[in-house]
Amino acid sequence: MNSISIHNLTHTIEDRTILKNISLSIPKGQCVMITGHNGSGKSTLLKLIQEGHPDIDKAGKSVILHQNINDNLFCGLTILENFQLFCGKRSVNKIYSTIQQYLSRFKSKPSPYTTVSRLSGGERQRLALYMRLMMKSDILLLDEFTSALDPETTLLLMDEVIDLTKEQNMTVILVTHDLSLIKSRSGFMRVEIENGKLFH
Amino acid sequence: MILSASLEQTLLFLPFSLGLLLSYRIARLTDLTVESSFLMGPAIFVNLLAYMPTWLALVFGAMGGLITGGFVSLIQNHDRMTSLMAGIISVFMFFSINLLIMGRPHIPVTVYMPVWINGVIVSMIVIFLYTLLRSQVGLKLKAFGDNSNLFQELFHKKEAYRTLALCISNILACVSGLLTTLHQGYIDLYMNQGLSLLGIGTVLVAGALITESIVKQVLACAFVVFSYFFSSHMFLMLDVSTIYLRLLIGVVLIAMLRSKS
Repeated sequence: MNSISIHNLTHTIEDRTILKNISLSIPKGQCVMITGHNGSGKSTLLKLIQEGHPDIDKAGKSVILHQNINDNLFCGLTILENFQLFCGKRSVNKIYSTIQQYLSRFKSKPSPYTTVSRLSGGERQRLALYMRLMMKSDILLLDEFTSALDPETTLLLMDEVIDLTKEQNMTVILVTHDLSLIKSRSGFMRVEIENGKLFH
Repeated sequence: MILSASLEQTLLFLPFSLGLLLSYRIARLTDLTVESSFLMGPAIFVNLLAYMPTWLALVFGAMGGLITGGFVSLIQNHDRMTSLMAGIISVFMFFSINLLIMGRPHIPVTVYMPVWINGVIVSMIVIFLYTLLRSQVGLKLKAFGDNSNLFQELFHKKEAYRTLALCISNILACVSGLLTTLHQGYIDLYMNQGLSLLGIGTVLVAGALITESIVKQVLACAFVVFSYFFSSHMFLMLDVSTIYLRLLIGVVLIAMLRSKS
């Protein structure tokens, strides 16, 4: 069963064709890595998958993690408040143990009442990833989400993505131009976009 | 004497300042329309007073905030304006509308409201804000102010929450205008001039003094408003010329901020 099916997708913005006749089928639970140079159209493709398009069939709900760390969380609110918003649960008791479980992975061991802006960039991006995982969606879209992080944190986050999404049988689409990621992590189906055209 | 006069004026102005705490500090909207609402509330009240009981006219007067708040939110959404631009245009437009409602620029009001009722009303507003901000709706208002793009991505209700924040803030401005009108015994077309700047100023100074919980921010607002009126009365009692009044109050505010840092 396919999680995402794209049929002959062409997308134009102000007379400029960003994506040309793209077709792609991604089975459920598959991890896909989309590579390409800046401006090749990979982030546009991810945006269209997230927002919906007549040429894209999507089975289930998708969530997206953006490149800019501060776009992914409510940084002026506490960790607990962020979890409450992302999970849609007001009751602290219901989610407190899960939050503690996630926070125990952090070296700094922050409290759930810590304001997100006090966390480091890497911690914020990990937290944003956990939030998306707690939303119990079917598809996780990652738009160059490690580009502002150091190599060590990048690899740590990639391992967490692989492990945690496997547990939930989530489909993952990762957009990147970081070649070290491609070399270091196997198990990803790799596709390349160049000048709006897709190459398998 | 100075203390009681300052407390009385704090009670009159605090709803206005708390409304701005909600719109400016929590929802991060620069809403200047509160200045128009301060006048619209009493303008509606004096017009309805002849046709219904005083308390009902007061309720309708306070609901004037729904008109101003709803309108400013509508033009922000429909015409893709920034909150500052929409506020400036609304203030211009509502000047004429307020004059139209009033019929003349100055109207005496004979209804009297005891100070203790002002205290009860302001206490109820504080309890309402506290309850609101501790609820799921309040949490979403804070989230809207913190990151409106992510808020839209998660909840798809950006316009609804902006309208909510602006309506509550403008209703509180109407309440403040009503209390002031009943206290001074008249309504004047120019009695709202410069109030939005004063209100935003109190919220900013309170925010600089206290950045922690919302309860402390509400208390900080009350403290700053009280300090403003207390300083004014002190300087007037010391026979300081009114020319220097705001200059000296500014010095007091700088001293307060410096003591914090």
